[in-house]
Amino acid sequence: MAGRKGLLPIVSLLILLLTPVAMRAGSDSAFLEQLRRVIVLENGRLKPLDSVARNTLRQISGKDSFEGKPAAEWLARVLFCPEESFRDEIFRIRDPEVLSALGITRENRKRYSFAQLSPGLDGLQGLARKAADLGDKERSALENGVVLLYRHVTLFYELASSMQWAVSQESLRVTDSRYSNLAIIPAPEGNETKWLTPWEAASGPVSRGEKVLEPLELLRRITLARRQGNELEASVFLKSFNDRVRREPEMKRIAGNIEREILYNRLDPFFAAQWCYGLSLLFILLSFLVVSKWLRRFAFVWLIAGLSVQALGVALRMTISGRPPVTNLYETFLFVAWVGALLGVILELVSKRSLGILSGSLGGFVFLLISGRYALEGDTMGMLVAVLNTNLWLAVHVATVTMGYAGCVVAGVIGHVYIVQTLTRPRATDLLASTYRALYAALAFGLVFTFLGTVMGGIWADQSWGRFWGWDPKENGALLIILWVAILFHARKAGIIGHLGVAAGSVVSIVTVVLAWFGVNLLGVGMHSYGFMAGVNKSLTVFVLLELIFLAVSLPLSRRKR
Amino acid sequence: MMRMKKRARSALLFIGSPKVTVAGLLLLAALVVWGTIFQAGTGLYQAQVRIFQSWFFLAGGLLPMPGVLTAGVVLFVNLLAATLFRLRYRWSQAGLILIHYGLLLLLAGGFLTLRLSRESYLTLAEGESSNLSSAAHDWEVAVWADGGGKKVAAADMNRLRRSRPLRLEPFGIELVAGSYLPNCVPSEKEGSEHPSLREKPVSEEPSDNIPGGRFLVRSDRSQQREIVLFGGDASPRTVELGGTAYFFSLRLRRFLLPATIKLIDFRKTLYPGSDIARSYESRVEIEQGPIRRAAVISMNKPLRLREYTFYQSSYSQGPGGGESSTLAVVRNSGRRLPYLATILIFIGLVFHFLLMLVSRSGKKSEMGA
Repeated sequence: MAGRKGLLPIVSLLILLLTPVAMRAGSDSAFLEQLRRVIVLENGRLKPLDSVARNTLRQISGKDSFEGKPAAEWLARVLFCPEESFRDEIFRIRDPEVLSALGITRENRKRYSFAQLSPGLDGLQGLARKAADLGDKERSALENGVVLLYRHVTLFYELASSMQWAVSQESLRVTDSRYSNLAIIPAPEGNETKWLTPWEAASGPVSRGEKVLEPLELLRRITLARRQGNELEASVFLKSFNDRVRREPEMKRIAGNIEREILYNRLDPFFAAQWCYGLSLLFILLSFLVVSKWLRRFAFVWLIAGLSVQALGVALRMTISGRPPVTNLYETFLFVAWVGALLGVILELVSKRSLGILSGSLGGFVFLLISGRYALEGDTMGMLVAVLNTNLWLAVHVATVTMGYAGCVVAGVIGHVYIVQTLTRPRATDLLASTYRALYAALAFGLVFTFLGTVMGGIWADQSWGRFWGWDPKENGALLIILWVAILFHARKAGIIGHLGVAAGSVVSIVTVVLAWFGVNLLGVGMHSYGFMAGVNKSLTVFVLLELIFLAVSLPLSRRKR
Repeated sequence: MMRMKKRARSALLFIGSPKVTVAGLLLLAALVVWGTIFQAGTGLYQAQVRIFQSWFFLAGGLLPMPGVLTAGVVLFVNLLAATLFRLRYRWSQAGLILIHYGLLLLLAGGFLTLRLSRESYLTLAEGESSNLSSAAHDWEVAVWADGGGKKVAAADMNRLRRSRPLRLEPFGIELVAGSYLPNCVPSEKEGSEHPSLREKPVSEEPSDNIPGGRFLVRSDRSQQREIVLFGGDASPRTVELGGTAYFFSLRLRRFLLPATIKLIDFRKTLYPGSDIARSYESRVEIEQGPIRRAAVISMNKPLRLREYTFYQSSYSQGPGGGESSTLAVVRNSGRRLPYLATILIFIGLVFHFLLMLVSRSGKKSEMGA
């Protein structure tokens, strides 16, 4: 639809889109650039320090930058001049009761600094240990808050003490390796490479020799230079450190991936895509108020831009992790957003009634928004536990079933549109019929893919532990979606419901999808439950209530109009 | 006659009608929701017994409700009637026909699997071998005689509890269950010949229950003895009847495997620098008659032996550092049915939607009306 006339806005908008990315890429100091490139082994995965900085800051503060500056800059302060970072207000405390429990005066702010929290730290440790002894289900919201804050404070403190051995010569002789997770020095042992923290390297056997002592000495010089404010010297030493680490033969294979991950972090493709979908949504909504061909074109171009940027992001993730596109809950959000936007584009190309743009941009925007919230839990490319590791059926199953989810979500969005159209333009039979056709097609797509995906999940389960079906909550959730859509189709065929009924039913199908997808995780049972999901419960309840209110208000009105 | 035929036909058409489908699907959906919520509170096993694998159950202990099996049969009959009497066997309907047959096969396969498949466990320490697997929570009374060689007879507790005496043919003795406690602990009473058992509340998790009970053993020569057996006993109880010593043991049901499995080595690998497990694998040796071969069973890579499949299930580490591995053993002769059903449905779906596309490009008809 964009045609030749649409080419100009596409090009100009894409240039606009890429400008902030290009600007962000150029703003690094030499030291920061080298710091991002340091290779770290964390939770079984080799990654750039840049990712550690972003993931940690995101976990602790809920944002991936600090005072508008990149996370790596914050981390540089934490590692090399921790005293300065103690005043950074980074600890996000959602539940003010946690502060009261620690005996800290509540202030009118969202985030607190390490220094502000330090009077309550002894108390925090005691409370967190007590709460940790309880099971996940038995903990209160306050206890969850305490455990979370304790985890964050520990994470911060470990990072802050990582380089402390280097501050005075004496600490080099320390034999008790202080607890720190920052494993950045590779020590070849036989056929394997063990990754050591600076503390372990400094206190370990001398027999490890030059391969460990040389990078360790470089780290000491970097720390001292940085503390003396000698940025240039520090960056020269840091470059030597990075080069030294990469000299190990097996690092050559990894080094490329590290650079790609830095690029991925820098592009932040899903955030960019979220903006594109958001703008697309804005333009298409405006086009309903001010009927304009151009607004619709803009909306379509932004939808395509979002789709492309997101595809680039997914491709980058796949090359970095070496895994299929959907392997964890975070990636299901990305994938549903993407398939939803893709279905929107296809629908728009077929029907040209703005419906595809609306459902695609709304689906893309909302699910990327949710994915952003999930990213706050830490590394989104974490290693997979043994049972989820490497299996073709699993990869196909998850991708297919999430495509089914996307189909049902798109159908649900169109269902809303159909109901609104019966209220605002009850006589436009052509328009209603075309919306209904789109709704029907999306619902059929959802049914087919959810069904196939679920059955493939059964095949995977049969291959992996010998049972095709085990009534696990997640399986039940997927079954429920299939049953619900099948009920709609058969009820329509039997004449029990009409087009409006199918539309209302498809609105309910979004609720079913959302409950099946991550509502069952809230039950906290079964092998599909993903752990820490605090906060989701409330949003989920609000969402379900809003949908019910929408149906309760709109359906009687719509019946009266006909 | 004609009228009766007509009536029967309209009854069959009703049974196969989409209205019945909607009713069946709604019932099934409600049961799935119910079972899932129930499961969160009471555990999967109870949810399966009461809702997912039952014909009827009492909701809240009062209201009788159809279980998932009933819903499944309603849908199966509805689907069968629709397939036989409602579907029009034309090329244009080929996709729908395939989908319906696939679904019939899927439902039938699910039912067969429920009835035919049997899951048991085989736990071996490194170096140990066995050709017997044990049930997760079904119990049996095993009997063998002094000097009887390797001959062992076993009585399934589920059958024994139905109060009929069970004959253990090879030894010519009968076993009668007296009192039976599904979960108990032994409590020794002073001066009593038999140990006594104290009842404990039955746990929702069946593998937490250890049963015990009082049994009567009768020989052909009308001799009779009472014994008390407890599932947690380390050694069997001895009873003398007619000059022969018999050994009785209440134990988890055992199943004969088609081969002897020996655990050579168990290995657990973590991702470097983390406590996230990357893989679990058991190196085993399989002995089938004169043939011996080696195999590796790991997560997602089970071992198949005829209709048996061996999966890596769990492991434990003894105090001395020696490891033992638990393999889940599933015997399921109907395991190919879901695969076949899926292929049929998949081909049906592709066919159906392709035909719809082709016919839509010819004439634009409203879908679903």
